[in-house]
Amino acid sequence: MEQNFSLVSIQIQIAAAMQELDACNELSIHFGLALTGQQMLRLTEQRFQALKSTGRIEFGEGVLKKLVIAFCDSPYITQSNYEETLSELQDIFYYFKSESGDTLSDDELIEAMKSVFDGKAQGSLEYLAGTALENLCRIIRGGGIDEYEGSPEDDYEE
Amino acid sequence: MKNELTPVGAFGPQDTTDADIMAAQIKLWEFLGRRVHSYTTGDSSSVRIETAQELLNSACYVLGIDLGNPSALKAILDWDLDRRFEDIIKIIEGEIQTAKRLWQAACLSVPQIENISLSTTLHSIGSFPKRYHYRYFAHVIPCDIDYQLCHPVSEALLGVDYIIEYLHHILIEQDFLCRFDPALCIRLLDAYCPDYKGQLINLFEPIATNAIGLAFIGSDTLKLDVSSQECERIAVILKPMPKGQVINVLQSAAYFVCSTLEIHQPATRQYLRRMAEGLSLRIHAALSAGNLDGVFLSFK
Repeated sequence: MEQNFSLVSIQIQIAAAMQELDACNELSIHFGLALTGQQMLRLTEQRFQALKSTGRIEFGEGVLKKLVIAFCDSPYITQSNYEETLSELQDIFYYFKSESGDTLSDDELIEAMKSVFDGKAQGSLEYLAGTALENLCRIIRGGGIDEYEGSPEDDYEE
Repeated sequence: MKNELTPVGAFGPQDTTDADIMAAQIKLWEFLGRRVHSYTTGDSSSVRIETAQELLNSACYVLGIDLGNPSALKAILDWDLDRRFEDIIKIIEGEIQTAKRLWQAACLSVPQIENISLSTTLHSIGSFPKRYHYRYFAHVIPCDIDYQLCHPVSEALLGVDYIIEYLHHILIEQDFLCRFDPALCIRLLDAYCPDYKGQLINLFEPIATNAIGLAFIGSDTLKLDVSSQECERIAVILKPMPKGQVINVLQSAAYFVCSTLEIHQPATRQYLRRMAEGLSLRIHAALSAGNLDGVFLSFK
């Protein structure tokens, strides 16, 4: 029965996520970006995989909607790499959410990701995940971001 | 594909429909989502599975739902979970005040017998109200409880319920101990365990044991010292008795001790009665080995 409980939770969330992403298309279309139904479903399924691999569980609105809203105006995202980039961003988000010890709110982490992605990373997801966010998490683990003095951009961008 | 949260045991008796089970699961899931939202103050849509599990355990404890019990299904479907949660949180807040009062009473009734585990345990319980995050982790007991009671608190009790019960037991034991001359208690404890101050021992049990033994043979309960002759006398009387009779006579002796010490509270009398029952098992084992020297102690 516990499995049923989990499956129910996933069914509820898939339905909600699909609706949310559908609504997001209305915003992203202004930047030449849109997800098909199949892409939405794949992204939603990847979301659960990302949650599972990072040992997390999500309630209510997923983070995909927030990622779409934050990143749809990025000059480094095109229709051809839209789904793949969102999928990667989603993985990166959950990974660093845990790595930061949940000290960053969703909005703070997304803001940091966007700042680096459009800035020093110039659209490189490898740089974003492998360098900038690792540095940020190291700072947080070393004493907390509140104790760290300096510009946030310096933190994110080495 | 499934999430790793493992909240639900047997969910639904035989006569419930799949639709009922599904409805209850959805309702519980949505309720848990609101608990998580409250916990993260809306800053995070996701939490670690361990955190979600603890929040679920806490919520179930507050609501009084045992997810392993088939009756949980009906309860979840019938109740307004949020309202019930808030109603019981108010009760828990009252219980925390009760725990505070009991803790103060326990601190004021500490016997004049030094024991590190008793002191540190009471000290730790003193910080319970500050450390008890009852809205999110109501089932947790955020204290270091080292002192061993004569009758341990049921592990089925959690959170503030456990603390209240623990303090009730402590108060009963301390009240009992305070009715004896501390110097005599210390001499007896010294015979029981030379490092009685530092060891994780229960102070009540050896004192109560000797008091019951003395009462049983009509000696002065308050003197606490059971001489070797008295110990022999107890053995001679008890040895031919069947088990059931030993329990009865020891429980009668326990009541006599209560009367002598002017203990009238039913809870204390019952506590001592339970202790006498346990004592009968020890006596039975000791008599099988030949004597009661290790049960009833003489001063050194």
